[in-house]
Amino acid sequence: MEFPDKLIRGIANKDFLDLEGRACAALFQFDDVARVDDDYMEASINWFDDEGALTEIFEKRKETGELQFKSGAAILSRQILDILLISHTGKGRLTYERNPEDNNPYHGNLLLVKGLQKSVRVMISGQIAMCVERIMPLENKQSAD
Amino acid sequence: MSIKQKKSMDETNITSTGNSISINSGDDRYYITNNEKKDHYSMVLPQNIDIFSGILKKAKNIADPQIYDYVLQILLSLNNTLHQINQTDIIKNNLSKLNLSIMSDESVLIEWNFENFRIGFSIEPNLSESSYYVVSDDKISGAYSSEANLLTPVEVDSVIQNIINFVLRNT
Repeated sequence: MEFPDKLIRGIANKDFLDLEGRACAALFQFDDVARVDDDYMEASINWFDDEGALTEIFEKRKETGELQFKSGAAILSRQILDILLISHTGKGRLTYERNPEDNNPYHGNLLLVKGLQKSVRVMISGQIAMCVERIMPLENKQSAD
Repeated sequence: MSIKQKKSMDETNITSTGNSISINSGDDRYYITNNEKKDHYSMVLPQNIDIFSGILKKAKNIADPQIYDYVLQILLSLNNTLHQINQTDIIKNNLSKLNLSIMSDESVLIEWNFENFRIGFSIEPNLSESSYYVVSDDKISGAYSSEANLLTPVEVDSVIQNIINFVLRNT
């Protein structure tokens, strides 16, 4: 399966950014409950196949009609993420996938194997946050290329 | 990189949990204070090493009193260690501000982010599972390093001393 060079994580609120504007580890929390079929916990992303992936994030709304990602989007480099994965996938901990949905063909997941100590999970979230290349504010939507 | 290697006070106590450490406000700012040694710990750090802007106000929102006390212990240790080092040898580094997040599982994550490395303290509802991490990268060489360890209350001061030494060497 082919993956584009960049992936996107929506930012629900400004608490996920520090005062210098960097993405925090808190932005990359994985679901508490693991999937039944393969024991991975998910963190939802969009694959940056084209500009539509960013538009999907920016226009996504909650059931209440409120914008879901009010604080913009974090753009991650897959190349840098891959370097990180090399140090973890040997132990089967961290990977990613495409997982298109009916209304979102760009959708995918970062995947973290269940059963890791909380301290290791938090550390991995910190490492993923270091893969963020730039933050795209909602009010400043533009090409990430 | 490895850390092993290498003003006036408003007396209104906003969020006391009964311990001697508390968060207070004054002059539109928030202060972390050890009420038993107020003069020492309530010192305001110089701007370049005042890493607490914004975080103390957020910390007031921690609902679990045990987590709150642990968070304050960590913040006070950071404050005190920086203050002590700065008294001996003035710190010229410009340090990033701390960030505090209350997570969905009610744990609290304190992050200290820099360009090429990040430090985090994760305080868990089960306090014995609390931990800290140091991660770093070198995007040119592709070298990543990381360590995560459990953090007990008795270790806080020594861990923070090592972390601050690490930060001052690498910023």
